[in-house]
Amino acid sequence: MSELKSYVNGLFAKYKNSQTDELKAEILSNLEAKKADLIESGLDEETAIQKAKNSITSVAHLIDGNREVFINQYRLDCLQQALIYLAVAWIVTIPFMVVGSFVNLYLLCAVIVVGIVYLCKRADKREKRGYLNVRYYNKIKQIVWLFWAIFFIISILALTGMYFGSNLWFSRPIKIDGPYNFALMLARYFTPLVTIVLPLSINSLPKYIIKNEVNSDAEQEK
Amino acid sequence: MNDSISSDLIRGHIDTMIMRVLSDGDNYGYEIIKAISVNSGGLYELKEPSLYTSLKRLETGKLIESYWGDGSQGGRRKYYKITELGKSTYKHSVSEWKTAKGLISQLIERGNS
Repeated sequence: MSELKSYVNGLFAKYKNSQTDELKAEILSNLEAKKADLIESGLDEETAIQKAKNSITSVAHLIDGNREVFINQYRLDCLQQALIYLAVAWIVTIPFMVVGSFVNLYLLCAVIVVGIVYLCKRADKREKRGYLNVRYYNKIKQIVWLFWAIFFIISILALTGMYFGSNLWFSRPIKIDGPYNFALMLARYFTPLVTIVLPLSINSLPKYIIKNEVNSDAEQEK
Repeated sequence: MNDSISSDLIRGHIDTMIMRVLSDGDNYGYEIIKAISVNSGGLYELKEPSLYTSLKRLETGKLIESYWGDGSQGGRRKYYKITELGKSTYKHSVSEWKTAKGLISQLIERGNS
């Protein structure tokens, strides 16, 4: 394998699919042409190869869906969003304490942990840039929603089976022993719904990538 | 080109510069860079990362199209060809530039004009 070929392979190491294959072949052929041209103009081979390599040092901006973003600002946005959802869930589940459910406590812990991480990140004022792929995060988003929906449906079915299975089986009328048991049942039904904070938090990741995008063209010459 | 102020001014016209080169005939990446360098009398050199960004944008906008052809030294090369849409966009950009050039001179130059 020629030196330029392995160099270009290295540039594309992170991106492997058919869309990039064509770009990869194109870049390689142009670098080979540049090398040949430089040698013809009197450079020795080693310098020519080095010059060709230096002319393109990253392909991140050419990958479909890739956006250059201010990473720190993006992470802050995501954490803030998650914090808001968790705090809302925590407040909503406060009444659960009465029936001895710990969901509320767990959420409080989550709020504190995410809150601390958020504050630490906010103290970091460095301007860092990096590439994130909108398509990739959209796919993640879909998968997380799908799994959450499956989890939610199974939880609700299981709870229903636990509470009302025997009523259905023996065709007995449904009987709830007083308001406490009713509240307990409601709390148990509500608990799986609380986990919606996870897909909701992930839902806005692609949106935040776009929002924190570095104004694209102007930066690429650097 | 060394000073960055100039490349700031030029950046918005890279697409048009490439379309101009392709108006003279189909061409591939490295030769486009060379042609632009020659057109500038050696004063401006288009950087590879900007070239690929521009080519991608132009192709997505259907202003140019590409095909694979054989290069002189064996390897296959990706050639670009300007489309009819590209030709009319190019003409439009040139006349826009002419207007802007006059206007900007009028706005920023003092005295002897």
